[in-house]
Amino acid sequence: MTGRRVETGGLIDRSRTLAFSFDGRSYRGHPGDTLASALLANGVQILGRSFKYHRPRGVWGAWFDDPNAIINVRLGNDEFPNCPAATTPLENGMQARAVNAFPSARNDIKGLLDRFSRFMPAGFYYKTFMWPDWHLFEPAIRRMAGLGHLNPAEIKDYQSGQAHDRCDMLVIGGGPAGLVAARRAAEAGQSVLLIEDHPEAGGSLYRSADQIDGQPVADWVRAQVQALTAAGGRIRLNATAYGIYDHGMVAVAHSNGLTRAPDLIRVRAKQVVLATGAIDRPLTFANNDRPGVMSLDGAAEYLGRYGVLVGQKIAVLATHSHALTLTERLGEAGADIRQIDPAGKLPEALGRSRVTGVKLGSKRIVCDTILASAGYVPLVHLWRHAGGKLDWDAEKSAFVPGQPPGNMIAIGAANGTFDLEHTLEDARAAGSGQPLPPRSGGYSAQPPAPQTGSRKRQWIDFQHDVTLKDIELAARENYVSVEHLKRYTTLGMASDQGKTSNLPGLTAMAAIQGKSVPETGTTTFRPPFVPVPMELYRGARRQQQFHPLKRLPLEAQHRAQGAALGEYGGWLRPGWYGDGDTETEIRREVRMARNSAAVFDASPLGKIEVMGPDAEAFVDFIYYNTIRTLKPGHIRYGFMLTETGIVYDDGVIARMDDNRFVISCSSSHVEGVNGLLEAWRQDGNNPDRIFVHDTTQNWPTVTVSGPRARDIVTQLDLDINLSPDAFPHMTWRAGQFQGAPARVARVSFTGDLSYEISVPVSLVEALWQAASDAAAPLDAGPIGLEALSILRAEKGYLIIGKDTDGETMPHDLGFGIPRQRKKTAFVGDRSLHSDKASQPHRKQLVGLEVADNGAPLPTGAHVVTGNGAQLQSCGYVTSSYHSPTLNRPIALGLVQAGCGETGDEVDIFHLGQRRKAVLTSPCFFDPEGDRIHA
Amino acid sequence: MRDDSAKWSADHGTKRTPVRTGGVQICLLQPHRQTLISGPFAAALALADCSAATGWPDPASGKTYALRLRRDRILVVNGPDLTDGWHADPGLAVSDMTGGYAVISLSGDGATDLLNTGTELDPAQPSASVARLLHGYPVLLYRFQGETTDYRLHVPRASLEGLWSLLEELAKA
Repeated sequence: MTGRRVETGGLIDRSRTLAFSFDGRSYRGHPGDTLASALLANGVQILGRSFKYHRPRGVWGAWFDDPNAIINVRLGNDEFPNCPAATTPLENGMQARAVNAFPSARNDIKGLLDRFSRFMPAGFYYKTFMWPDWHLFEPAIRRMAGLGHLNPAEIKDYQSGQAHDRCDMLVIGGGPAGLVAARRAAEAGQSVLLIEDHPEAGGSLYRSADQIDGQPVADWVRAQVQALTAAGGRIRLNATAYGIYDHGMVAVAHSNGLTRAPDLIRVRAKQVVLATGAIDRPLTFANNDRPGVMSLDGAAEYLGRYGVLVGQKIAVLATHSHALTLTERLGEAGADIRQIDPAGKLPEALGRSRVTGVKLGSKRIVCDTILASAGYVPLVHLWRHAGGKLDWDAEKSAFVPGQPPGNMIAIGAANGTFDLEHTLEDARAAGSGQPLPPRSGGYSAQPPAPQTGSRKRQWIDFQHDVTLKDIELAARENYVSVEHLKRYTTLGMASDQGKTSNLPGLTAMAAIQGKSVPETGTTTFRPPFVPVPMELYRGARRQQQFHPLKRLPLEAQHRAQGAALGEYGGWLRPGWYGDGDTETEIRREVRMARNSAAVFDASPLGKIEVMGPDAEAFVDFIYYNTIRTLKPGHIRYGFMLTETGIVYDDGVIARMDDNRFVISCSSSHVEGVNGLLEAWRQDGNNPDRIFVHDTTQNWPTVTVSGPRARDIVTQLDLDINLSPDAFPHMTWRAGQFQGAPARVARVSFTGDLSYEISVPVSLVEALWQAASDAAAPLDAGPIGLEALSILRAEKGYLIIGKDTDGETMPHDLGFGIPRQRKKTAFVGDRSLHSDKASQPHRKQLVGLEVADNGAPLPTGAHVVTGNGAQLQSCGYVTSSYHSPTLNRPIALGLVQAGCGETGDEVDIFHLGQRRKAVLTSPCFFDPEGDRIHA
Repeated sequence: MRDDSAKWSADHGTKRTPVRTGGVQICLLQPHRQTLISGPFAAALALADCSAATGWPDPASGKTYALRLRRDRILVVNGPDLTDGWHADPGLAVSDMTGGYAVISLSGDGATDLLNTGTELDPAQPSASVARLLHGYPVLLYRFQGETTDYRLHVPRASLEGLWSLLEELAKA
């Protein structure tokens, strides 16, 4: 191919020059060029290599239908992998390099692979590398596979913006059909948004016509755009609708050039007009992948839009009725055109690294370019995304829009109307809200049937090296379903997602099976229509916004006190305080809590209120434990189960009065428990007699726990009698703090005397400060979550999800009485009496003491029986710590009943190491509860 | 067990300087009282001494107003002082939420575009509820008619830092 720039024509700016390089050689282009058009204008013939055989590849198409020219671009300090050359706008200073080729696309050392192609047909991976083990070959194959080179360096400020938009009519495609439809609708008073993926409106006009309605094309396009905007319509250029999702949401990628990330715009429209046009279908013939074989439409586009004549001696192999117009335009630009009828004998492209001619039977025609077209393929991808059906039009040899999805119509070439006059009729009807005229005739395409059985290779998928022989092989091996064909051969799985290869592939399979194309079917059309960077989907979800943590009202106080903050159940909470060694600080906090008192920020603890005349029956139904007997002022510990009887959450419930309860669920479970309550409230209950309010964030909580806790709380002046008789364990009292209401609960998660004090947000800083001031003289102070975890483990208290798993039922945790005796129905009741729930060897909560004087057991270590091949797990360690209180390791675990009795020694296995432990009660500290009732 | 204090910018709580950038002004408001009332809609309005509850897109106005969250739930802003708990006679559940929600005011020419980055603001699509997701944050979003028409956002207190910093960053972009 001897491409060159013609003197006039196209939309490029010839007054300015852009310098760039490709595979190390310097070239020049103009603003308005793409990388592909600039390289063609410089006579570059080979722009890439195919994926499997590393065959040389030139460009096939002039826009998103080109599967061949995939480029790595370096611009400044940034590298952009896998840029399609046909859609990448040229910029000054670009350093482009072909992917999948070394040292260059022209001289790729892996080109030798093509010599062995007969040994590498479709599916050869699955057959060849199975023995002795795929994993032996996998690393080398993976190194050879893949296309572009990903630079791990972050591209500075490469961030996609996101927005939502809406309109009455969204017109996708700014060609003649889209422009006329959009203008009509806007002039009729509709809010119209027109999107066009090129930098200019006009679509196919630049390649197919000099004049329209008696005006030069550029003038006509300008007039349409001006009329559209004057009528209030909007137009977005460089914007591609790449997918239609649920409820008609159209995803649009708006390009900001190569170096800036595109923006994502989610558009909802009352009506969508699809004016996306059509692309050329490749013709299947021998060596049809040679550089120099390209789309007839693409060649006309390069001439009309970029002023590039792709060849000088051009052979045209086209099988549709509209080819002549395009051919004439190329001839007028100075090309020597030779029309060849490809029907009958199998044509063959001659030449190795470029086309030197075409052979038809015994006849050889010298040429430098072959322009091929088996007809037009309407771009119906978005139609299918939206759920529209397709009909097969035998006259046009194409799938055309059939039964429409709800709010979409297709017009022009996208609708199978390929002549301008009827396209404009479609558009005027669509813009006026009138029914579309019948699809026009006047166009026919009759591509020759694929010639199977030939020794010559005929390419179906240019990028993935799928040939007609591969389709025949797939048929022989019974991969005849189009979905199986696609996956067996990788047909249509290249970066162009089958835009050029699907229909030739389906046609080939149909011919092999003696079926029609519609009988063979199509594969599924899925977004994205064009490749989009992952960044497009990220939007604002980055850094701290990726998974934003909830923040405590006391965070500033914790930071001031030297807290080490970390994520605990979706909240940023203090893990420990102090600058010393982490373990030392945590142990100090545990000893302080046991010897004096601890002040702890428990604000995230759930405070979900259940109110109403049916609240009592409702919470009794929700809880595994009996709640209806709970008296006002009292608190009860209990479990919530799933319907399968699995423990979902634990915690305490306080009764405020006859019609009001407060559920204190786990800090990380508040939304889940709230959802569970709402779901049950609306299922089988009168929702006007029960209401659920999540007030967690209105009532931050400060907990004071330890033998000196009462001394500290006394100084807070809560207006509550704190004596043990007046305020016993598992009760709550309403008090006051600095004139505001305070709820004080005597519940404990440490095993020591504890008060949980909840106040309005505006007073929690004062409460924390007062508690800290009162604690300091007693050698008491703040503790974090890590110390609390040890304190509760010493007492044998659970953390749901840590000390339970997806099979744990309440009787596995030592809470079996309600299962046997609770008379009223509750969530999960039936499941607790299933065979599985009654199995004798269920995993149960146990304590584990280290028997070998070693370090704490690893969390997750297995309790095992047997050796070697007989090694069997019968449970595992769920929590394990060094207890500063007991000065020895302690652990909790879930271990099968029957694995041993309390006091028995068991084997612990972890990463190949065996240790010994003794089964104990889970409660290691104060089993009589003297301290908690102090 | 990891100290991630430095990975998270400090929470500024409710002491925040208004942000003016990119045609947007972001301010933190301090309503005197916020009260959640659940139960029959008309009875809830009567208890709150409000004649209507704001949905979308009609704006709220005045010092005291009610927002409709769902069929049987309103949030009253600066309403009367009500006792928390079950109000048997009208059959209503009442909870103070004054500190539970932080309230952000968003105004200026760029406010609509800013919100449109994270939610779909369509005046032609009315909703009885002001509850929606904004960039994944659960918010109560409505228009407020004061001297100008602004937007107001009620966000759970614990998510204020995240949403504020996101709005600030987007406004500057």
